[in-house]
Amino acid sequence: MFLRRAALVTAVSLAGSLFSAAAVTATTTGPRNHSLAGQVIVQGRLLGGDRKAAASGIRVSLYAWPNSQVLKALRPGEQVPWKLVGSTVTTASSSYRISITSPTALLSSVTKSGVVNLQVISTSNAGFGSFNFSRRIAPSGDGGFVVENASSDNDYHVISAQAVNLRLSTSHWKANASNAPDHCTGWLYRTSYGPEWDIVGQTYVNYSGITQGFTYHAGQSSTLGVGISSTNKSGSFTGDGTTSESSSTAETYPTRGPAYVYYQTEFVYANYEDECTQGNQWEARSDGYAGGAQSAFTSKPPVANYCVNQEAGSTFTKSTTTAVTWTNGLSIPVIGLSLSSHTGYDSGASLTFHFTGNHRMCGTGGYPGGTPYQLDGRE
Amino acid sequence: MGVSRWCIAATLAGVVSAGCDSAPALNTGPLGNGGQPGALCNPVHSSTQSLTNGFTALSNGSKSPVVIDRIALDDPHQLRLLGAYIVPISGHNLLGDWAGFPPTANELSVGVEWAQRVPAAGAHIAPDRPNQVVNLVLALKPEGLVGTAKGIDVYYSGGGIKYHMLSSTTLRVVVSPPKHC
Repeated sequence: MFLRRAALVTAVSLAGSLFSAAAVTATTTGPRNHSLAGQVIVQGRLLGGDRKAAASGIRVSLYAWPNSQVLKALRPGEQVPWKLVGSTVTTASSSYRISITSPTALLSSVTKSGVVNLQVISTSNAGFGSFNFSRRIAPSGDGGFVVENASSDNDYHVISAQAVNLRLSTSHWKANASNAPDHCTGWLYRTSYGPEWDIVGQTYVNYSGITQGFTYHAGQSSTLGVGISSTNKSGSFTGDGTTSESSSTAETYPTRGPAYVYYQTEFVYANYEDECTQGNQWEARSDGYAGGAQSAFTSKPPVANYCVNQEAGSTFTKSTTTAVTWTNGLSIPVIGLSLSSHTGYDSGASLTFHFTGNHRMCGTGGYPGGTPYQLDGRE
Repeated sequence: MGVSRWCIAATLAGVVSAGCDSAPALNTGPLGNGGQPGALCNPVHSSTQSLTNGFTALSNGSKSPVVIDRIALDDPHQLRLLGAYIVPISGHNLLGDWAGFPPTANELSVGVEWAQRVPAAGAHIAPDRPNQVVNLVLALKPEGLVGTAKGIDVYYSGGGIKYHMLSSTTLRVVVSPPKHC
């Protein structure tokens, strides 16, 4: 693959917070990031709890979270050193568009593999809204940068602005009488939930004479769900977008015969709190890769109709394919939260099938040589 | 590295590269982007045996037919292309890979319309119908104990435009024994 990149970042925007001013990095438009300045990176509408348009003039901001090394070094009570990437206020129709005003903030939050985790956020007396997503920042070759999809190496395919309709919640809000900015501390590290198993791959074989294997290489990125709560009580967390996390070590799973296998590895999840005048918020999100290998089994194979014959003695390895999203691929039992997970395999993960007899291999979304999504070795 | 990307890099470096202007863009045409990367290894059972490679599905995503101009192996090493054919597929199964060429009747899955095959060069591929593909089938022969190629080059035309698709599955053919996949 031409350029391998991956990384993690997130952004939390606390409009008008006590600390946001300190977090703002001066906008720079130097020669290496000129192509980032002014790019619209997220847009949408701000909606009230009744799903109707929120008022105009409410601030919405985009922040970049630091990489996992920075997050892991935080002690309980310490503030996450996020960086403001851009900010705006809603229009009369409650829409917003955030352009990159601080390329430096964005670039300084990118990991060595190129991924940055972002959070668009609005905190005011009108309510709290948030959404996490990630992007890959790739050198464009002319001294500038291209914003790509984080879950795959798009090789300079610019991705359009993330569309996010933020729904403001006033649950546990003390007042909602005005649109004035709320005052918040910013995200504070509270505690670690420890490592949690996450599905990062799956293969299926339903016939003897075929073996299957999976390797999760160092540097492979996975997209992991983020949970958010206004009470921090078990069962109160809901999905709030995703972050991307890269593995730092490789895991090679046992080669198996007939079975329907989920491959799992562990990511560390942690709890962060944003203390605001109106009400606090808590997030559960990944702050690093732990490693480990575990297989789980299911009795239900996918429907895979796109098949090719494989002769005895042949081997097929798929080193890149768009994978499925496992809706409940990861869970944090202590807070009763199940989150989505997604591994879009790049050259950092691979599926291997070896055929000792004449059999077939089938894809769920396309032929194995194309974009099969899931692969099934069968009679 | 793809041709177009290399040309971009050469241009950015101020290098004038012959062929960049005339080479068709890689993996941007109606036959798609060549799929997502993988690796295929197949055995043949003697140094004189050939291989049937029917792993590649082609579908035309445009609204008008395209014509295949030429099929070639990309960066072959001790692997020779003996022939290339387009085989209609009426179901979901491709021919797949078999030691020996041509495939025997027992090796033809239901829906592989082998009798209706045509040489790939000059073959017309009609616009997509739902779930409709054709199978690109190659006859390959290793010229040593191991033959390899980085993929299959499909040069084709449509609407007066030249295209180039490179399949993303690398090929390896071994004489087994002594070699194994």
